[in-house]
Amino acid sequence: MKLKSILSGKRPAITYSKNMTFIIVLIVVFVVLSILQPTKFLSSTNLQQMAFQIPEFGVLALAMMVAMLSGGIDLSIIAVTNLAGIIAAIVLLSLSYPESLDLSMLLKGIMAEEAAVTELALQPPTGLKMFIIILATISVAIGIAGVCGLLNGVLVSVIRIPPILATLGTMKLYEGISLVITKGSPITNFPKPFLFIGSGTISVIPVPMIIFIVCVAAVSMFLNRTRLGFSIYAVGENSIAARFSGLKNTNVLIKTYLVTGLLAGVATILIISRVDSVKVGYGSSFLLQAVLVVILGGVSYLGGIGNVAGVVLGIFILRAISSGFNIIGFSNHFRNVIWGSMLVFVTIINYIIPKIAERLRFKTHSADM
Amino acid sequence: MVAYSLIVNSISKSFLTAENMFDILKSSSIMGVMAIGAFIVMLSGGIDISFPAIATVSMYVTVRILERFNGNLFLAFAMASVFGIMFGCVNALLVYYFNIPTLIVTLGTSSIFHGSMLSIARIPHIYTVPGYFFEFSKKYIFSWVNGEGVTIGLSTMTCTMLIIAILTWLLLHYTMLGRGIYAIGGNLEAAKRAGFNIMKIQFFVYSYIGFLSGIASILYVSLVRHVHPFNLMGMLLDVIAAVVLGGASLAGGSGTVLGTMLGVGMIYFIKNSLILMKIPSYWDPVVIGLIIIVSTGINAYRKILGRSGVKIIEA
Repeated sequence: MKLKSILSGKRPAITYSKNMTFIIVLIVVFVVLSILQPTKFLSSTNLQQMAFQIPEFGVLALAMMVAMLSGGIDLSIIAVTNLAGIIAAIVLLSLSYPESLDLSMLLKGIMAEEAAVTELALQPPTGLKMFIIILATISVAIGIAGVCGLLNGVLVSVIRIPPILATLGTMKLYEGISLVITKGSPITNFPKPFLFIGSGTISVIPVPMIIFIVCVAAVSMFLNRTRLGFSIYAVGENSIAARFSGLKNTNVLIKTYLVTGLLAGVATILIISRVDSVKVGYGSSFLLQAVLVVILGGVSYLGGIGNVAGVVLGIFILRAISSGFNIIGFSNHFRNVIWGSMLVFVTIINYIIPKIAERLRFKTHSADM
Repeated sequence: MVAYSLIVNSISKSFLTAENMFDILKSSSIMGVMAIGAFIVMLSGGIDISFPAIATVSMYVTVRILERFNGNLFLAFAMASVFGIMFGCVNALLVYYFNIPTLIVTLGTSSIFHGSMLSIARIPHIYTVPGYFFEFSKKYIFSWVNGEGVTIGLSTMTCTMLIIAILTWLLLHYTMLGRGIYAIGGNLEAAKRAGFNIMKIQFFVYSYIGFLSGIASILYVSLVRHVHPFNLMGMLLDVIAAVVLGGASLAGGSGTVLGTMLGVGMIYFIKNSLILMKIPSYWDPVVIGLIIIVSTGINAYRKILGRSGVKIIEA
């Protein structure tokens, strides 16, 4: 409890000003884009499209954030997402069309399966049975992602491989397993009810947005109101001090990467149910963006500093800019240039501002003397 | 490793032949040159993931320019290395002056370099590479013709790699600069107090990897005979795996050139044997991933066992 009060007492003062700057930046971005492209940017289709795209990326960014708060990094989240998605897709399809799709046919890839579905006019089961199948799919996806996260956690904390290398290795490993399973071809044609999760709306609010809001609330509660959440901050800020104040660092780190994995599992469900397909390497551009958005959101790469609100604002800014670029017609490659420059620029600013602040404080201090 | 090669040989007879061995040496030379650069950066306590992007861009620009004007191979190597050094200096600038973690700097610059090339160049593939590029990869230092009429020998590419490896080894062990790289990797603050010029060393380290990426990119063009914007990008993880496998520590300050070369050899050895054992190439990333995890795991775990007395403080 002591730890809790110390940590929570200290943090708001730092993050408040940063979040205010983010809100201002977000408003500026919105206003500039609305002035430049008033008809397109503020159109309801664009706004709705943004509302569909934010969640999947947002949940991945939250996953990255949890790992970075503990002072590490998780480069394997995209690979975890793909692997969990592929296995979940296989489970979903083999449960939905048990009579005519055997596994080998499914794994041969998209063509065989598409033909089967259209020619035989297969109908997925309805009602309660479909609901159970979807539930099973979701739990498989989250379960697999959790296991992947657990392995990362064990490698980082028990065997103590540096997080960059451990997750680099598992990234390659998970990617390889997905490749071995699918041979690189996509799996598609999920039953309609499943797609509701990723592309349905309840009145005007997209379902993924609701899931995203739930995730944000859950992660925020988790970090600010639970013992484990505080422990992650403590380990990230100073692992030796955390150890001496009685925390079991090994346990904390394993659970950190487990949470990261579980969040990647949620992202999987959102992605595969929105695009109606899953494939090795899908979403690989999100990795750079996730690191960018977490750092943009004020999380320190050394661990221990940062909060959910900053990261969520960062996600909105990034998406707004991204869709602005889309409308203006920049190519993907050019967008990569801008993400890279932003990443470098923001880290430079984060480095310079405290220095300037310190110098100013020093000046006023010496003036008083 | 010997045991492994015997097992592979029992499955596929063509593994332990001189032809295959020299082939492995030749094809691993590109990765070897890059790995030496990546090793130097890791030795100094950083990590550079932008070198594939640097190599791709300098390869593209060099070949694009030489395609228009007359040139020769020497000019190609010189130009590519100059471009590489320039990009390396950008990294060094950010790392030294703003104290940003090297992973984040190079993650950013990697997408800046590669992205700018792809968005500026309308056609990023080049198939009309001047002839003198291929001549290089076909030359041998010494060679003989075996019974089936296949030329076997030590390729100039392998030689380039070996020369670079030896020079780097000399540099690391017999110059002040080299000792400085070990020193800042071991403990930056201590190195600073001992009077090493950190700026000079860091600029050297990052321009050296840029320089080597330039060299490696020309080797690549001469072997593959066209310029492809994405192929080299896929080498990143393999190179880092090789360096880590060779015993370099991510924390910096430890590792040897010989270890790195053995790491590269091991990766190619395994890849080659997978092909000869007729295992589908889908398994490649699985194997590479496992190698990274197991080799880093063994290193890390040995450290724990060695220091069990101070385990509490370390955790």
